[in-house]
Amino acid sequence: MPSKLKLIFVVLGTLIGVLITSQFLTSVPVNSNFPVDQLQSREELLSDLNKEQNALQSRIVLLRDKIDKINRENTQEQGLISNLNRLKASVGLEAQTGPGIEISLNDGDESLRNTDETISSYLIHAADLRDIINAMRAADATAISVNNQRILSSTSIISVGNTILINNVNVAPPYTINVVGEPEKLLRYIQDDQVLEDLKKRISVGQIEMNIGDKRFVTVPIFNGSFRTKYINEN
Amino acid sequence: MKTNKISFEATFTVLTGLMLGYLIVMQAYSVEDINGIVARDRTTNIFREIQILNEKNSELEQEIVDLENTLEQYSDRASYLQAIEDEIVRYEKIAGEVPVSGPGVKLVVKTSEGIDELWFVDIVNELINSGAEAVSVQGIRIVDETNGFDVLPSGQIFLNGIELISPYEFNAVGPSNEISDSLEQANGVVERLLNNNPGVQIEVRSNELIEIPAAG
Repeated sequence: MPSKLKLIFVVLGTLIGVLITSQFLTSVPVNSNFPVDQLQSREELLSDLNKEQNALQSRIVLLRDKIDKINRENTQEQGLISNLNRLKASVGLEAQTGPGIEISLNDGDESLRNTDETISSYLIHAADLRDIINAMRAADATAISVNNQRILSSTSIISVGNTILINNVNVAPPYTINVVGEPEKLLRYIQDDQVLEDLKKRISVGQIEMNIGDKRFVTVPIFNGSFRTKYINEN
Repeated sequence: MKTNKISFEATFTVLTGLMLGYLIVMQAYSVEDINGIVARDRTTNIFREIQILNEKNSELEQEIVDLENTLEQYSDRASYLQAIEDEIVRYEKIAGEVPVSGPGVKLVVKTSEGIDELWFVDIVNELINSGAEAVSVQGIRIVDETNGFDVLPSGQIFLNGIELISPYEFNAVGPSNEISDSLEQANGVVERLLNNNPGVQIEVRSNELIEIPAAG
């Protein structure tokens, strides 16, 4: 058989192989398995719950402000109040401003967040945020927030479908992570090739976007949620 | 005879091409493989979000009631001092300034080869997500000042400057049934850890009294 013909056969075979394998490996995107009216009701309910949550959080911040104001005006119990304020600051009940870095993360252009498709390398996942926060803590960050949600040791970051919940609050892309700490140390850590390898692989092929910048002043807001102390007792 | 030879050659050449095509596509897919990431975030029923938000709003309402009670106590000097002392006791427990105890769960991971730091991150996240109010890893209370899980190039994992060595022990104070159910659910963090790390042994035990030391 002439070599030219062989080459044609190989090319043809390769093309057919690519087509057949792609066909087997490709799953048809399904927008939803749920009836439209059911999904619409869910969206309306979620919207109401989120509005209610915002109102409750605002009320909490207001009440904590009132309490702090009374304590500030009290001149007699300075020892107790100063101890209380120190404790509150250590559990995130004080905004923090200082040098640090700002990390911006966004889904890729080809991402589809409003579908059942959760296995997408074009989406930012809860695990990505957890890994970045862990890395920043390892680099001695003193305060962190994601889209103005204060990150505490009691913060969980989870996915429900393609929705990311931080402190059980719905947080949508793009994600802005503010980190207070020593900028050089934070940058050195996050830019280390050994750190966040999976995330960096997806960034390098353009599936998701990440930008990092050092800042003279970064602000991390006060925690506006609740603390659970139903089960813990002091020894 | 010659026709047979050509036909054999052609078939062989096409099969080689098919194999090449298969390998090319598999290679492309393996580059896109993000199982390590995606598998860490289980897909949940989409209506679960409503349940979570409902629970969250109830907790916020309770916090408002507590803060309003505190404010009411602030109106009288004697009760004002008591309110401040109560707040200090509460925040000392949250901040990890005192040892705490309560019902909860102990999780022990035994391995001869170590596990990636992502499993520590995910286990702690799952404990908190399922209601844990205090968590320790290898006796180190996790609080806001705790450093993250840090990996050295040699693969050793450190927490607060202390190397973590198997068996890794996680303690959590909180609703023990909810926590152990959440850890051990299908495709939960325990199952995923076992599937991804052959040879690992995991023990999850509910306990009436879990003790967690103060943060160092």
